[in-house]
Amino acid sequence: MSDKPESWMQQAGNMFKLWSDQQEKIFGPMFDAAGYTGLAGGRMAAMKGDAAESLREAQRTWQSSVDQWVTLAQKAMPHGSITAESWKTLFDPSQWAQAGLGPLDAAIEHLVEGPSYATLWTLDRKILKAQKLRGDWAQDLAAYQVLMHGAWNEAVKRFLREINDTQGTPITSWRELTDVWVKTANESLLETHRTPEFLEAQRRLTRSGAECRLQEREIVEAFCEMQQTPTRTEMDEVQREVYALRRRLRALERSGVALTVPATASPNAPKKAGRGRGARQAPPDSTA
Amino acid sequence: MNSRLQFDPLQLAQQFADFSQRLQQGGELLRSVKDRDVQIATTPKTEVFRQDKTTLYHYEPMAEQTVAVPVLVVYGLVGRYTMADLQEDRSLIRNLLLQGIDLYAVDWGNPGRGDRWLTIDDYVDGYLNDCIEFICREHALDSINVLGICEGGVFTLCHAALHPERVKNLIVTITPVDFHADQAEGRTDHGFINLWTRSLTAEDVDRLIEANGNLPGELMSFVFSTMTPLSSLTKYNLGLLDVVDDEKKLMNFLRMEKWLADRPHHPGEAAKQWLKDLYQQNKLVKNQFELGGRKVELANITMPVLNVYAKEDHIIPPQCSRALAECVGTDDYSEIGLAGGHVGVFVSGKSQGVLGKGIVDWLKERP
Repeated sequence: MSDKPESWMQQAGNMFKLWSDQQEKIFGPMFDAAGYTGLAGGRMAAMKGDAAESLREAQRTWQSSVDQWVTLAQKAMPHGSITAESWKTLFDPSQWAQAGLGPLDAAIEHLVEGPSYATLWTLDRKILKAQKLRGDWAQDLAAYQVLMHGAWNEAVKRFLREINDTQGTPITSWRELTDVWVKTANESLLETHRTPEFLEAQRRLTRSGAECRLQEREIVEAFCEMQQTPTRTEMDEVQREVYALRRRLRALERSGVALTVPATASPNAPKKAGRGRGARQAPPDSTA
Repeated sequence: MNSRLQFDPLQLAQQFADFSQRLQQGGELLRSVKDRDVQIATTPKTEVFRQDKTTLYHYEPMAEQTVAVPVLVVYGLVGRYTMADLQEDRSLIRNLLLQGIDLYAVDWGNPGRGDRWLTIDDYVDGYLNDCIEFICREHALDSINVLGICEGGVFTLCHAALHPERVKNLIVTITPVDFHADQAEGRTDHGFINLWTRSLTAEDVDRLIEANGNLPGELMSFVFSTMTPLSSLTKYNLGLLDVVDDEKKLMNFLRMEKWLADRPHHPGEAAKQWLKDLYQQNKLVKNQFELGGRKVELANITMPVLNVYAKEDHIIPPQCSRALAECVGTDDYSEIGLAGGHVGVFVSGKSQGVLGKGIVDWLKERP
C-alpha cells in the first residue's frame, strides 16, 4: 500500500460517488414502495430508469472534472504532490548544504519564467528570480569545487608517488618534504587551471555571480524607487553624462575655444616660463 | 628503504629546535613592527599637476642631470605606480634619479564606482596627454622621454602612435603587444590571464562590469594568485617563516604585501576595452585598436624604442612583449631581456643595477 495520501480532489470524487450510490439506494425502493410500478408500471419504470441514468451521467461528468483537476494539480507540482518525504527534505539540514533549491527548483523556475502580469507580483518575481539565480550560482560553485577537489586529489597522488620514488634524492628534513609537496601540488593545480573544463566552470561561476548581483540590485532599486531614493542605475546615468560632457569640454578646449581649463596646476608647481596651452591642436575627430 | 624519506630522529629534533627558536625570534620581531614602519614610495617628490584623480609627481633630483630631457614614468591601472619605488634599495625611480634623470611619474589614483565610465581613450588622450603637455610646457620642450610599465606601457604605445611628435624616446617595460602570443610558448605556468580572458565571452565581460561597475581589484588579485596557487597558499606560513627572523627580509616582505594590498579597481569601460579589445580580440598588434575614433597604428611609432621584458614573466609572457619589434615604424628598436619575473625585474635585488643602468645608458645615446 502506498503511503501517498489521496489528493483532496480524489477524496471529493470518492465522496460524490458514495453520495450518488446512496441516492440510488434511497430513491430506488421509494419508487417501488409507492407502487408506481403497479399504477402506471411502464411509465414509472421508465422514470426510475431515467433518474438512475441521470445520476450516473452526473456522476461521470463530475468524475471527469475531478480527473482533470487531479491532472492539473499534479502538473502544478512537477515533483509530485507534497508528501511527508518532501517535507522532511525541506527541513533536513544535510539538504541545505546542497547546491540549488532542491524540490523547489522547478516550481520557482516556473514562477519566474512564466508570463508576467501587469499588476501582479512584480516585486515577488524579482525576489524569486534572485532566489533562482542564487541557486544557479550555488550549483556552479559546487561544479567548480568538484573540479578543484579532483585537482587536489591528483596532487596528493603525485606527491605520494614522488616521495616513494626510490630513484629520487633522499628527503632528510621537513622543509625538503614540504618543498616537494608545494612543487607537486602547484604543477597539478596549474594543469587543472588550464583545462577547458576548469575554464568553463570558472566562466560559469563568474557569470552566475554577476547575474546574482545584478538581480539583487534590481530588488534594492525597487525599494529605493518606493522611497524616491536615487538608484545605482540612475547614478550611473548621471555619471555617464558627466564623463561625456568632460570629453566634449576637452575637445572644445583643444579646438582653441577659450574656456576655463578644469585641470589645474598644483600650487606646488614650479614656476617656469612655459608655452601656452593649446600650442598643439588635436585632430578634429578627437573626442577625448 | 622503500621511499625517499630518510629522516634521522636526531636531525629532526634539531630541526624542530631550530624551527622553534626561529618562530620565537620571528614572533617578537613581527610584534614590534607597526604598519607605519612599513613605508613604500618614499622617494621625495612634489605634486605638480592634478586632474580629477590623476596626479603628476616631479621627483627631487639626487644627482647632476645627465639626460637633458625629462622622463615620465607611466604605470597601468592594474596595480599602483608605487611598485617602481618600493623601497630605497629596490627602486627603479631612485636608480634613475641617482643616475641623473629628471623624473616625473603619473599616479592614476584610486578609481571609484563613479569612475566606471572612464575609457582608455580618457587615460591616453586625456590624462596622459595632459601630463605630457604639462611637462613639455614646463620645460619648453616639444617632446619628452616616456617610460611605460605593463598596462601603462600599452598606454604609452597608444599615445606615441597617436602623438609621435610629443615623444622623444619611448621605453616600454613588461608590456603586452600581441595578447595571443602566450600560446606560442606552451608553458603551463605562463599566460594564465591570456587564457582566462579568452575563456570568457564578450557578454560575460559586459555583465561582470555591469554588476561591479569596475573590474574589482580583489578579482584581479584572485586571478593573479591562481597563477601561482601554492605560493599564494603558503605565503603566510612557509613564505613568512623564511623571513620572519631577519628584519631586512621581513620588511621587504611586508612592503611587497603593502603594495599588493593597494590594488585599485580598474575603471569599468577601460576594463572592457582592456579585456575585450586587447586580450580577447588582440586589436593592438593588428592595428585595429581605436581610441577617440582613431586607429592606433603602431607603425606611427617612429621615435627610438627600448623594449624591456622579463624572461620569466608569467603575467606578460616574453613573446607577448617582443612582438613589438615587428610593429613599430622605427629602425632604432632595442630590447633588454632581464632575468626575473613580472614584478621581480623591478624589485629583486639582482635586477637593481641592471634595469636602471640599461635605461639610462640607452637614453644617453639618444640625447
